[in-house]
Amino acid sequence: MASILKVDTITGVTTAGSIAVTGEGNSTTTNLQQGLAKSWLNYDQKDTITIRDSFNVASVADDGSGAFTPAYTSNMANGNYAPHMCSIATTSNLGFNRLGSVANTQTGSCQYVHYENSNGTDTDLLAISVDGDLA
Amino acid sequence: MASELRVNTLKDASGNNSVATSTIAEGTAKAWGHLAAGGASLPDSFNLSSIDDDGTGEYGLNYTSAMNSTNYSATSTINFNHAADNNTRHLVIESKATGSVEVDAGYTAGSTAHFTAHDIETTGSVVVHGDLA
Repeated sequence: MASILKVDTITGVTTAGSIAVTGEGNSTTTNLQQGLAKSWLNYDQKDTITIRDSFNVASVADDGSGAFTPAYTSNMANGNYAPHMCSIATTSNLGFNRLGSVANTQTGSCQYVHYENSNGTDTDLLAISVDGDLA
Repeated sequence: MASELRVNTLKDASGNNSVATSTIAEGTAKAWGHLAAGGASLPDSFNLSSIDDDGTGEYGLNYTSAMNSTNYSATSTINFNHAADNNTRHLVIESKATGSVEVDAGYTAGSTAHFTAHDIETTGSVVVHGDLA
């Protein structure tokens, strides 16, 4: 029988921040909180600087020359999270993305940089996602 | 007391923001890891039981709960702050198995596309989406 649960907040019983979800194989469980993306962003830094859409992003600092720093609304627990980034290159130049620095994954923010031909370059489409533990 | 709730759809209390529980099961990441400098340790992770150091720049991440096939999505990112040269650092997926994913770290230099293996100097990230066994 189909069913609908209407609720604003889901909290674990044994541990508030831990809810098991049965996986696709109908036997193994995965952890809901651990598996949820904690932040994502679709951002234009080139023409009109725009946050097209986002989740758990309070603001984005334009650090110039392809660098930008999204700040989280709800902070991460520590720096040991897993950020990811992809982008579109403005030309056919060799492009790549990286995080800002060694100690870059801060609890409140993370800096990303888009490069083309070894130079930091503003571009139209930057997409990031963050997996890890919320504070 | 532990409890189990069986439901097809979740909505907020106003009846909006509907999401099928199948979307929750399919859409949540099944594993992620933060790889430390040197690459052979995981300061934080989810559904990863261990990491293997398989040689220069080569690492194996072993799942606690296996995936149901190799048709899953694994992505990787490297944190680069090597100011000594303009080499481009990469962290790429080498291969996928139901019980593990292999990643290779290294760099390309100048105009050549040749990939040179190198241990992770800063940190790296791996995230896995797909179906659990």
